[in-house]
Amino acid sequence: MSSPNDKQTAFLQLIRDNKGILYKICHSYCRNKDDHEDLMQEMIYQLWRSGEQYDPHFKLSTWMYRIALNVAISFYRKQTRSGVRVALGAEVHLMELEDPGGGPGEALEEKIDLLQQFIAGLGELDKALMILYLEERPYREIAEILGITETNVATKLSRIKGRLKQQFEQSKNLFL
Amino acid sequence: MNTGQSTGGGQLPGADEFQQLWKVYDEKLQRSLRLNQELLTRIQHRKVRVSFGWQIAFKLMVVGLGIGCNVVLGSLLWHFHDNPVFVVAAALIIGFMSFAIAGYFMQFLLMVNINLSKNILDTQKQLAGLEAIIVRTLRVSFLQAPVWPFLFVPRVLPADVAARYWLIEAVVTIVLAAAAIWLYRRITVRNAAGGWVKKMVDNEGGKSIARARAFIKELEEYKKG
Repeated sequence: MSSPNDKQTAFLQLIRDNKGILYKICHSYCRNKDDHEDLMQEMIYQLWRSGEQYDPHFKLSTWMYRIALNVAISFYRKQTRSGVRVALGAEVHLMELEDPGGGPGEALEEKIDLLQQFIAGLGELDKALMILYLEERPYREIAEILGITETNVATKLSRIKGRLKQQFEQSKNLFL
Repeated sequence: MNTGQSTGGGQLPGADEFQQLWKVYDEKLQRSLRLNQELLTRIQHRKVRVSFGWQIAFKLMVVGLGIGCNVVLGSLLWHFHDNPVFVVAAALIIGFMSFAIAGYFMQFLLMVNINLSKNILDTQKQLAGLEAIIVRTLRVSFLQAPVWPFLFVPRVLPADVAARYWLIEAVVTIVLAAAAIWLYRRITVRNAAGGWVKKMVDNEGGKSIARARAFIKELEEYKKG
């Protein structure tokens, strides 16, 4: 049986390993910087307190995506702050982007921006679907996370990707 | 966790480029994203149940109060069964109260059973259903307001005060009925910009029944494909 300390350490490791995914979900659902911190903390808090509900029949990633996306969608729909943010100071944030130096280059940055803009413009459910696709989750797992059939996943993805390609063609003529 | 597994079939030509782009974004984040360890540890020690904690306790308290109120009204009904005005008013109020008790109890059950680790469509449907029940219970509860003054109508009124009494009773009832209908209609419409009404509904844990219903419909359509 694992001790509370073991659980805390394992959880910290889980967040460290997946900080990029959490940041991307947070950024896709909440472009407003002020609300960003609230959503990030809420996602992490709900992951922490939902630890006991983890069903080992599902992959850990399925569990994590479900919670993070459910919290993000609820947050996006209500656009309300929980008001119980843990704070160390106004300028201290849970996750911060530092200048890494040697970025992917201007052209790639522009494409990434365009992709992010496209995702931001999607409905809350399509947004979840697209994030999972971009994260290279198998169709079966996407279906399990969303609660739809694999065929439905394929159909919807094909439609969204078609629109995305069109948008890329129109704005930058980068693909095809 | 980010294992980079295959997505299977159904892709458009060139679609993988989006995934490659996303991977570049991810690599950038892995290099530049810094996690504040102290804040993370503090979140783990947060004792407050942010989402529904105080609301669950509030719903249970309202259920308890409602049952208590119905018991008192029921015993008064038994005691004053020879006063027809009181009997009708008390019976109506007990009916409205029972509706509210059932509504609050359903809200309690839904809140306790909401599990964020279930699939997104089912969880969001539960959450939207909860919003709809919250608003419906609240708005219907207001409709009992005009009935309350009739609880205090005496069985026999002296002839010299009867006319004046019924006049006052009528004015109070009309005012309360107008207020109840106004609130009923006000809470039904989109009340996101509705000042104190918004606050009242928000405090109950929901925003708009119309929006919740629309979202449930959207979820059902999404499932169909």
